[in-house]
Amino acid sequence: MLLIHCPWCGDRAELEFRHCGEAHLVRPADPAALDDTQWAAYLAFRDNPRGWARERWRHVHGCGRFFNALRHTLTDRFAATYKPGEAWPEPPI
Amino acid sequence: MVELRELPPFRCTLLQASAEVAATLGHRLPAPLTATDAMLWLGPEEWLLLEDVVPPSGPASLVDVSDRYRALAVRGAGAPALLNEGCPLDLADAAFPTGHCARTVFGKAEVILWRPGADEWRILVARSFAPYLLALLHEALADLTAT
Repeated sequence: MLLIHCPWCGDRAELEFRHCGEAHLVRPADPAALDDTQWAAYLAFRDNPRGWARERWRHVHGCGRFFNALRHTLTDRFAATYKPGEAWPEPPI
Repeated sequence: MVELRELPPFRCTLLQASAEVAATLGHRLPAPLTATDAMLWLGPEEWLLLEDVVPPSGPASLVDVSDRYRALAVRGAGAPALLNEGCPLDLADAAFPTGHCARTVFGKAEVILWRPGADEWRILVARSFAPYLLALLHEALADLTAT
């Protein structure tokens, strides 16, 4: 089973976690000023990279906290997990 | 040899507050991933209190969850083998020493696992999941003790 490193609890089994989509999305400061395309881009359109992806995960059956992870979408390798608000690490080559 | 039994209902309170506010309860705060006799660490700024409490001074969420949990006791040197039938945590002494606690899963049920003594384990489980968890554990116990 895949072990995922929770920034608060350490290495835990994959089934304690839930994937929560793309990370580092920033809500537009003034949604009313956006046109429909820009608003849709924030709400619905997501990257679907083949390679390293920055994702939100939640340790839902553990400490319950959200954190960010850098995961490779082909190999499932987690290069890093880090707390929300922390700078994102660069993907390994 | 492993002994499995159900414990009587108990009082418990869920506390969510900053460490400074939680400290005003007068109990020593357990370090992350550990528990004291009075408090279990469940997550950052989240604890389960096992003793009656006075309201802390400061902003906090304090919820009586006594009716939420049923408690099981597992005793014996073979307890980690029994618990690992449904729980993916590493329960070896080096990874989960005495005094540790963790919220995790057992089968399909979310449980709080606590090791108050070297051969003493406690499982707290939501009341509605208790029959399911007991059935799983008894089946695992039968498997382990089969000759």
